[in-house]
Amino acid sequence: MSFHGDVADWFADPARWSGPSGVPNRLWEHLLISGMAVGVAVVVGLPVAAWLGHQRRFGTLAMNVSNVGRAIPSFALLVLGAQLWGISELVWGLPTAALVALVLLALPPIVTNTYVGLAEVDDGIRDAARGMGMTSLQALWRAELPVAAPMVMNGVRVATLQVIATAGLAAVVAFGGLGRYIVDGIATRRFPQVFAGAVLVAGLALAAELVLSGLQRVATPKGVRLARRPIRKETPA
Amino acid sequence: MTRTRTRLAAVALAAALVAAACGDDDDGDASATTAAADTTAAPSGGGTITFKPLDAAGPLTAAALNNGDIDLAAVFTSFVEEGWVVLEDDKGLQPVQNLVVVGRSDKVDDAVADVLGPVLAPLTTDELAEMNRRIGNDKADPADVATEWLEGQDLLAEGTSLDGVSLTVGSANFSEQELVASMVSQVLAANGADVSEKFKLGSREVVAPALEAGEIDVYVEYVGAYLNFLGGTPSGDLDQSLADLRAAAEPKGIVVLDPAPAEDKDGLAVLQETADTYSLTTISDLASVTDDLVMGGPPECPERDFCILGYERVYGLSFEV
Repeated sequence: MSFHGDVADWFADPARWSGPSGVPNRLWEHLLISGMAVGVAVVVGLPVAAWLGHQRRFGTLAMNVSNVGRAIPSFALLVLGAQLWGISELVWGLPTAALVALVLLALPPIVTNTYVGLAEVDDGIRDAARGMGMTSLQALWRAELPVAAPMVMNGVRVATLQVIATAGLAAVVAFGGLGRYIVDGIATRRFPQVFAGAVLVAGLALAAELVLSGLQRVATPKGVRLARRPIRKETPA
Repeated sequence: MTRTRTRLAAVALAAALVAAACGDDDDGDASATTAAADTTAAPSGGGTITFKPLDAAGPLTAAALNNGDIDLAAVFTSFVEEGWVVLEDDKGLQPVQNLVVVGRSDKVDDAVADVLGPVLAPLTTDELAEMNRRIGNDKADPADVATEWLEGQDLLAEGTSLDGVSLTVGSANFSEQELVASMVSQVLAANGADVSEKFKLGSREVVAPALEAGEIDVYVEYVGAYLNFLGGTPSGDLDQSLADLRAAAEPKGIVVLDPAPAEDKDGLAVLQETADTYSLTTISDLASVTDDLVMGGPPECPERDFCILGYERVYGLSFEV
């Protein structure tokens, strides 16, 4: 039978769709570790980068520090982490070594986009906010952050995409997720299963991309969306 | 403005919420346990062994066992660390894997066989494991470790019985192979042979054909794995497996010398304290453990007879994969 046929058979097998090693549970595990990594990166990176962007200070430093996570291959980080923490779990069965590697991967786009988004808010908007009597923090929260929202969300979207595509590595430190199909498939030389796992990861990444693009639209304030629209002729009333 | 802020906050928290909704990630129930359906072995004492896919007796498995993340580890018997106890394979699941010198019969005549006969004869699994640890952990040179061991066994005495004989010694590409190949090569050289070394050739799929083709003349094999490679079926019976191996090797012009007591085979290791807690000395003892244990091993373990399939079939243990 052809390779494509083997892959189709793999998906057609009813045993794939239930139980702990079934696709639904593996998808859930994959989303869980990806969501956790992006969530931690947002909670840690976004406020710091937003404040620095608001101050327009230390941007290069923040971006360069966070870029370490991008410069070191995630697999190397995972192996290093495995030396430190083995396969011990941080919370909800998520292995510490994999979470750390994925959070470090998620940080650079979030920090960079948040910093740049806020640092490049129009001076007029910043001045107007302060002129209306807002404190510095109020100006950040109520004027600058909404204006920078599309850029910030774009960073979260890129981070999520990279994390989902990379989270399969967690299977190396005994975690589930879609990487299980790939790692186990290589160990047992079942290459249709490896391919199926890769297809599932890619599909999940694309689905996440669609959902987050929608969220990005929702998070963009109406005023910013209108301002970006091409200028059209006034339609007669 | 307020609506926008609320939306933004909601979006920023979305990723965290994905993670927050997962308190009930526990899908483990007894029904998921693989029942050893057609086994003749008695059912186990109630404890279930959860399997964690790690690596093939590599650094992850070692670290996990040492840290207590796993209770049981699938290991190779000659690569165990201090403080580990290898459980005895009392029902003979694993085929014998004694180290044995093999060579081309046109090169390994009586004189060569007489010299090589005693080399591995005193080598035990514990000594082999200790030397492997020195090479793996302390980065000792395999050739130096071999020299030291041979001197300790008084096997490096100068001789002249192999003057004028030239031999090529090969090895597969892992440290234990280099160690034992060094032993063979040093003893041959001490007895006057002109020895050339071709180490780290690759896996068995490379080394065994190299011997048949005459690219190397002698190397060290493992009884069960080599018999398997030559198309036979090894068992836990050394005499039977050795006889089968000699019968399979002879037509290929390969002579199999006497095996060492040392074996490098698949096994299960626990920490000493785990062995004490549950009074474990054999794999059978695991069946009477009522606590749930965690086992680490290579990802292919659940589908292999040397691993979980065999432990279910022969020992009646229950695993959850």
